[in-house]
Amino acid sequence: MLRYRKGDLRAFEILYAKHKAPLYRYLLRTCRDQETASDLFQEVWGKVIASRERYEVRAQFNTFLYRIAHNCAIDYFRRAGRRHEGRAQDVDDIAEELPGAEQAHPDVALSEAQMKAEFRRALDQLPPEQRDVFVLYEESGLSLEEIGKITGVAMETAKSRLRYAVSKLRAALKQHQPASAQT
Amino acid sequence: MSGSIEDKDFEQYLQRKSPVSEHYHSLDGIEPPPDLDEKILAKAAAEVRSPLAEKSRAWKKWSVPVALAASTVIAVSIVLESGVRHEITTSNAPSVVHSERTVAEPATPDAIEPAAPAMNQTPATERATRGDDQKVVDVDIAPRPAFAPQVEVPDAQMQALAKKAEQKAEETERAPDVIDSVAEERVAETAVESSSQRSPTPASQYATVSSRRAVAPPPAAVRDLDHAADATAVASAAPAQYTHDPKAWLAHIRNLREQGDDVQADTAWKLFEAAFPDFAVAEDDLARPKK
Repeated sequence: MLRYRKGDLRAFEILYAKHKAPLYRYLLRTCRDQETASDLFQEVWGKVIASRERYEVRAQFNTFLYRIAHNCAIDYFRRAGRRHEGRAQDVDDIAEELPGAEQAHPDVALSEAQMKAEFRRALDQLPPEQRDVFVLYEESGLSLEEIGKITGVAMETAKSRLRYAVSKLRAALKQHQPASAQT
Repeated sequence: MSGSIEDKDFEQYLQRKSPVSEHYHSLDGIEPPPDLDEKILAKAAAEVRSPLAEKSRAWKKWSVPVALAASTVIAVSIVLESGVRHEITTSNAPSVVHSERTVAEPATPDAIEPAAPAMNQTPATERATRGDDQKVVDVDIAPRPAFAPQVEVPDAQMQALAKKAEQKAEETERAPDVIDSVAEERVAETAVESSSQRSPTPASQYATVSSRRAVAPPPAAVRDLDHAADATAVASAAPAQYTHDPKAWLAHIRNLREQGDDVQADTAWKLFEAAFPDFAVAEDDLARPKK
């Protein structure tokens, strides 16, 4: 970022290539709508570009980036006036994820697809605060303390939210595993 | 029991070794659309190449050298300014003029020469009582103009003045009521003594000293006298430091009279009259010759 501030465009390209996918996933998982996620993604990087002149190294770039992203998401939800409820992934979506006929073991593939769908559903059903912390933890690689700072809560609160989120997701996985084991 | 298992699982999750993390990352490899990438990278490039950014970078690049140069210019100007002021102060340094005045005898208002306003604001007068005779020695710092015009006298004019002064001296010698030969010798001796003791700069060297100090030239009559052949006698009767200060010169003459040196006092009085013909001196002033 410092190199980009000095006019090195290549440095920005490297930075963008490294962070674009995790950031996009975070936004998509948070707002659960691809169009909105794309808008927010553009807004976040626009703010990063605009702030390059006054950028100072106070923390990791990750913290800086996800703080902007979190604030953009919050602003978006405030503007929308309600939590944007994305459409639940239905059976057709699961079918799209299924591998082709060339798959050697279609049963296994189906089981994996079902497990993914179950996991995704469990993720979408998490309370927004817990989902926010979980996705941040998974995508940004930041510590709980930094996540607490980004979301504006104490580290213990962030840890507690994460614990609940992980517990629910694990339960969803366990529910599916016996069924898959039976088949 | 289940709580401890959950704790263990959670610790495992925090170490990023949990199946939850594996499942999450195996969901899908979502990437932003390529057109979004192009938009953002184009925006970043435009920001870097914008004239405002160029201007900002140029300013950042030159801000330190410009600040240094400005500081240097200010520092040099301050040093030069203070140097000029010091030089003016040095050239304006007054020569110390000694004068004596009897305390009991107040100076007549007419005889008080108005001093320069600047020097009136900062008088540098030291007074010391001298013994039983109740005299006060005033050490006045006579004001001098900062930049007095220097009068350069050509050699021919100098010679003419010297001749004129010699003629005047001869006439003085011939005059019956002036000084006899014995008195003249005494004057000469006193002049030598006083010039060696009191006057480090003889009157004949006045022009050199005055030009070096950039002070105003003395009156014409004094200049004539300064160039006289027997300048030593003149020097004792009219020391160089008095030629600009009639008041101090009168005090000097009074002092000569009090010491009983009437001959030299008379000579000094004549020189004084010649130098300052318009200077008002009280009729009963001790400096006047005894009738």
